[in-house]
Amino acid sequence: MLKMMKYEARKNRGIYLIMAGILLVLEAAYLLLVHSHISMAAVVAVIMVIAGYVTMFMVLGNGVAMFKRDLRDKTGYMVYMTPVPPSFIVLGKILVVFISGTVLFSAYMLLAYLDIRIFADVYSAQAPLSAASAYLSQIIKNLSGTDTLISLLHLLACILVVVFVILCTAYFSVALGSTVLRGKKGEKFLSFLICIALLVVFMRITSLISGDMSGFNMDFTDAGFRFSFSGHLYREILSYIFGIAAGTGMLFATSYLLENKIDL
Amino acid sequence: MELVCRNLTKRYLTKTAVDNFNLTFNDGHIYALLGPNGSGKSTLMKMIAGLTNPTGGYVELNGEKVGWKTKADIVYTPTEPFFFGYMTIGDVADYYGDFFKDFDRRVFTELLREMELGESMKTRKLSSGMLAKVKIAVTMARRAKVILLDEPFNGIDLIARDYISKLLIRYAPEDGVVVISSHMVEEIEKMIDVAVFMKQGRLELVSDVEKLRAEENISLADKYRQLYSKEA
Repeated sequence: MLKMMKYEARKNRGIYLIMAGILLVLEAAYLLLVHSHISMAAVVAVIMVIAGYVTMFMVLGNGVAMFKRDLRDKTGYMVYMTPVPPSFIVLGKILVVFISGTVLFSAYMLLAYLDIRIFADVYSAQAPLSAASAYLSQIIKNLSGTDTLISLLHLLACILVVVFVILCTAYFSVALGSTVLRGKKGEKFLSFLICIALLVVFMRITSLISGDMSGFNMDFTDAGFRFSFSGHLYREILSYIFGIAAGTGMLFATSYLLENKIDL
Repeated sequence: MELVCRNLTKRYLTKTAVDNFNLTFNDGHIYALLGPNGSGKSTLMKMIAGLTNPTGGYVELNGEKVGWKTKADIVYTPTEPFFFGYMTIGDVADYYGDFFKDFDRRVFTELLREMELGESMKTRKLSSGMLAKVKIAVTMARRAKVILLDEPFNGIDLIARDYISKLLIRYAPEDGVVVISSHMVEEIEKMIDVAVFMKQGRLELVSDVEKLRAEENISLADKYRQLYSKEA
């Protein structure tokens, strides 16, 4: 499986390089502007945060598109003629997309966080910006608190499970669409419908398990921004277990279709 | 080594591509799959390779049903280009070396030298003749038990075809099976032992090429015309 992951990463390196390149350009622009044009620097920082989310979606979307392409094009023979179990092939593909998307997203967010600190340092002594920098300093201090840190880790676990479920469901939907309507009109639309339907079902089940989803709280006050989690932890953990089980189920279902139903 | 196709069938909604195909391929022979377009040759090969799932019957290699495990002993080379676009010839060799224990890098390198091709060449920039040679090189460098070549001579010139023919004879495994599908009947007659004629998805005739010449005193091409010319 590791060899499969190696070649999968090489196949997708184009988009990784593009996203990393965009990140470097945005960071360079921010560092150049932060000392001279504060409004432009702020705009660049906002773009960087948005770009982080866009990067995650683009990497995920590219991964699903590559999976579809392997099923449709002859290059898929390179993958599916190898003596590797279909479950390892699918898991390898999903892991590469998952890891690369997470790494790129984290790189964007880390740089955005560091840029906030730079902003706070540069403008700490400058009125009338001292109020803004004081607020930012308070945010940073709040983010460093133990409770908030635990809540942030909880939020991170939630995001990772959600991304895993979405990825596995998307792969299964592509495989099922290819099984039912291989090469025919409507295949992509069918895959899209199946994906949406399954995700709605999973979301519904998750909300039934975890109950009230107002567990994550974000408060903006004069003292600054505070983030915390106040829901029932055990129900959240149950919903994570369900998410991982659902994603794993989709993964094995995809492998089954690859081995027994899909014709290349 | 025994490759068995038993009641092998592939049905689609509007068509039966392979219909109740029964044949045991014996090792040490080179088989030709012959028939007009749409007779089921490619579908049959893909079922043997494990890329297409039969709707009836099965394929067994040494008693084991064809699946991901048997792919370690089977190599399938399609007509079309299938290497990843980013790959150089060297990358293709690395890929095969990583996934197939039977891949002999020395043989591949030697073949590349004979073909005057370099490992740094990008596969997407190769001509059809060069690509056909690389496909054959990577196929024959695998010491697989079952070698399936789907229309290996399509779109390549006479000199390249002659060279590929010689390679096939030189590297055909003594304890394995080579199956070639081709429309160039006169060309492949020189290298094969057994001709398998297919018609509308069914096995029409299996004939030893030497016996055909000795007993019926006709060439393979003439036999082909005899079987299929009624349809014209």
